[in-house]
Amino acid sequence: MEKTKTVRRKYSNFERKEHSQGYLFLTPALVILFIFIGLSVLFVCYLSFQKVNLFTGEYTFVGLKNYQRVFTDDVARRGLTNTLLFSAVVVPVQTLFALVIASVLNSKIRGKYFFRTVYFLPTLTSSSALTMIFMFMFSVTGPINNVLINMNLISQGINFLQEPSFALKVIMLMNIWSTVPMYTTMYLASLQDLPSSMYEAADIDGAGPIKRFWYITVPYLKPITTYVLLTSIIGTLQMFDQAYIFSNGSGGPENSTLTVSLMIYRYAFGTQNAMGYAAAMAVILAIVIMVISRIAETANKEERIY
Amino acid sequence: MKERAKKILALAIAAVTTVSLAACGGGNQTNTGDKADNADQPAESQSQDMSGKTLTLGVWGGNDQESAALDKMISAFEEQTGAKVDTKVYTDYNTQIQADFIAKTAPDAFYIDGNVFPFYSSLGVMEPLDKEEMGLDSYYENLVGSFTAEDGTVYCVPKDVSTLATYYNKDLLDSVEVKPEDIPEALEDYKDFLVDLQKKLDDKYGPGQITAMTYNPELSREIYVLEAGGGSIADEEGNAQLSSDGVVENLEFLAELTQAGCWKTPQDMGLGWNGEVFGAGKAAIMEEGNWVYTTLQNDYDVNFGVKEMPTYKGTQYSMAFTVGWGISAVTEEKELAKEWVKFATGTEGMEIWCTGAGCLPFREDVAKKMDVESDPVWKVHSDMTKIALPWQKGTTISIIDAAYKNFCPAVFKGEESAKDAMEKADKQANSEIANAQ
Amino acid sequence: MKMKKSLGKLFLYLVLGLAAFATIYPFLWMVSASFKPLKEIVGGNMSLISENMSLDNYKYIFGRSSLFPKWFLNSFLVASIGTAVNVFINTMAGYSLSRLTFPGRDKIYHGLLLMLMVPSQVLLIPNYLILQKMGLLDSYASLILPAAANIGNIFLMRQFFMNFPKEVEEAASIDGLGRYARFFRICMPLAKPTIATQAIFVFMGFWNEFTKPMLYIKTASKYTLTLGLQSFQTQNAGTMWHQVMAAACISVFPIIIIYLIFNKYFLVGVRMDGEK
Repeated sequence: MEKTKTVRRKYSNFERKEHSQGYLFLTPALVILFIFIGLSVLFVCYLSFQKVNLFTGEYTFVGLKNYQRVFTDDVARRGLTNTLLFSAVVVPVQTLFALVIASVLNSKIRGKYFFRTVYFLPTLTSSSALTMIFMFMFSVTGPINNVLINMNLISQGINFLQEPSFALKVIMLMNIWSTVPMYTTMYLASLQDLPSSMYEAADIDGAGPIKRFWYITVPYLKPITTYVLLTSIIGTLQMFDQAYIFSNGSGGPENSTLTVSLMIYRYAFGTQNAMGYAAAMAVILAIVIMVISRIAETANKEERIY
Repeated sequence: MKERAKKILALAIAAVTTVSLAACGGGNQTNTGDKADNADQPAESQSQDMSGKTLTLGVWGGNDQESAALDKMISAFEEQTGAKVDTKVYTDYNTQIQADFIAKTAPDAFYIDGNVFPFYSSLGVMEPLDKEEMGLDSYYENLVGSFTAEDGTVYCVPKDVSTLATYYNKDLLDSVEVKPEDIPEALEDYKDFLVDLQKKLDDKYGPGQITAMTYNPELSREIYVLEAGGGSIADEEGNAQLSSDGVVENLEFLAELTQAGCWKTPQDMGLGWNGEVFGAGKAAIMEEGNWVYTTLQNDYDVNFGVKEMPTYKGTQYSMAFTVGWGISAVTEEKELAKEWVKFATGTEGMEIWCTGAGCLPFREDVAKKMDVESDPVWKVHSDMTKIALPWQKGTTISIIDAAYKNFCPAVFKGEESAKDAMEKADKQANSEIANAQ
Repeated sequence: MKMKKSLGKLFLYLVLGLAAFATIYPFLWMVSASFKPLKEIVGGNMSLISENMSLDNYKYIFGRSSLFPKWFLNSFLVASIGTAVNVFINTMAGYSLSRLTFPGRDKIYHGLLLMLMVPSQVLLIPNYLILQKMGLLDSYASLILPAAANIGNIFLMRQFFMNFPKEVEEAASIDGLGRYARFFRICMPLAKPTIATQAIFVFMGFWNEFTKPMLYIKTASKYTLTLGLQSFQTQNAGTMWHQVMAAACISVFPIIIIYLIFNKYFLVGVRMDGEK
């Protein structure tokens, strides 16, 4: 992508027209996003430098105190480690699965319409139903343990959700399971636009399915991969719901499912008027997400095909 | 380019200050408004005509019986006063009521959980109430305290109370030839009894299929054991002291039960709460609140009995979970809201509520009138009211509870000593409390 | 060689089949549970068919409130208007951010992404205060306006238009079509598969949205379906799974219909080298 030049220069009439068109196309989105998200984001940044009681409207400027505390908070560090680990596992697995499934479903196989519809179903399954099924499947007397016991891999049922070494992994699994279909759908949509002439050319060259996948599909989908990577990074680093439900809001056992968003929620809606601290954590999380996104974006640098 | 950046920054700062000033301004205005109101308005005559006025109530969703009882109360009130009553049903109470309080959009009167009362009463968001006007003398004394702030001001009138009692599955006990009377009176004797029961259940139904008893590893259920003998889980300032000697000793006692394998959490059994495990016939004994009574009768077919809670260290304990009615400090219908609260918690309203919704009345007079004693289950829960410890402890309890839930499983599994784990819990809770300052 | 190929195929179908089972089972379980009584769901019976199945849960839910049709209509209205507005605003913004060059473009793009990175937990209260100041609380507008543009989908459209062949537009430009005509008459129709994808996710977003209606809507007759169904939930006696599952099925049903309608677009798609 071309960087906007910071050097001042005269624009031609044609260019100026394109500039105004560009702004015009963007205006509706910018107005809405600024009013309904931008202002709130700025307000949160402002709050992060305050000790605030929103109920009584008392604001005290505390400078960087909230930030200093976050950096010296062991629990926050644990939360961040968990969150990063979660993201580091889920993002690549999710992306790879979605990419492979989408290209398989786009190839000439029987029953692909059936599979496409079926694979879309998890996006429609209610999250409370999902949680209940996962809780049951991974319980001490549940089917997973039964299988493991029957295979003589373990002698006694493991309580996956209460075991610090397993709890986060179960949540990872559930998250992957429920988000892959969404990304698959997006990849599939983009694959519809892939000129079939490109595959035909490859066929003539005698390229096998794996080569075709690697040299045609993957490069073609790069812009969408950027999208998938970034949304998935943002989504996983902000993970809240599943951690909250599984741990009953505590982030336990032994902080193994504690995520940064869970901590932010607890501070923001707890009984301690800690909105300022929550805001500082939120800003730091946003910065972490930004840095990681930029790294991913650079690593997946897209070259325009046309 | 720089010029533009400056402009954008200026704009952003202006926007932020507008928003924040607006928030501050709103707060100040309403506060002064309040004082003026109070000064001008001495207690008005009681039964004035309220027709044409609308009252909004903030409640959370209840079961069918509860909704029906609330509707019935509302129509009775509308008939008496001529006012119209709207309800706002909270689905995520904590988030919604906080947003409402901050934006001054709270309903005129609303439910307040006894557990979060210390926090909300410290914020000036609720109208102070007059003890005599609200007739608080008729309530069980140990529970009125739940709605009195530190400075002695009362902000809520109790609406109902739930207490813990011991539930047992008659058929399950019967099938392994254990009598309900065999369930010990003292918690100290539970271990031997439960180990024996668990062995019989394992022999009959297969190992681990049915647990002798379920428990919840959280403070709202265990605080009475943990604090028995004079200990306390928090000091005067609200800092956690779960690792203090008395508490640790009691926790070690509980850990012996879990390590004996006869005491399991609902999550161990793959379910969400005690009621489900018990209802599904997967637990022989549980300690639960009276809210489980209706669902056990309607949704499950377990043959169950109820008995009083055991004693621990010589004293019988139970927990009481209370909910009260509070009035918004910024409501424009203060008098009407007060009328509602008086009606809802008075003999007439409370009788409609408690008979219909199936819960324990807060007043002795109503309890007598309703003859709660006639139902054996209600009788047990009602008896527990007098000795129960209200579930409330300052504004830091949710943080301490989260830390406890976080670190107690290791103790219950025997992987860590109670002292070590609770020291970690204290450290975490206290740093969280400090961060919020 | 041929043997190897068919073995590979067999393996592929086996994997696809297993994955399909893992995906479809929870969904079917949800549907099946919506017909079962609570005690059977809680009893941990994982089979999909049971002799105790009945319509009781559905009867119960539909009988709970006379406002049901109204809630359904509200949801449909909010989601349809919201989706229509979103598709235009997001597609235009995505197009602008990828196909047009103007000063500050990449800064705007990164600024938008940055907004997406602030966790929503801290934004709830500020958003609520903004809507209150604008006097929008308890209105349908409070559900549509703040979500009338979606950063994620702007981003999706931007990425899509990056793959979109410039030549098509250039050819149209030679034919004398202006920028706006090219956008509405060439680009949007050719972007159908991605727009359909965007539309279904936006629609689902509106349809399943819970937090916004929960915070912003107070009057029961203005509830959306999700909020209405949630308002039946008892707060103190555990989850009534049988009713929750029936409610989930009721709210998922319209989405399936919408999906099947849009299915046509994202499965067949409009090929660049095909029609038009």
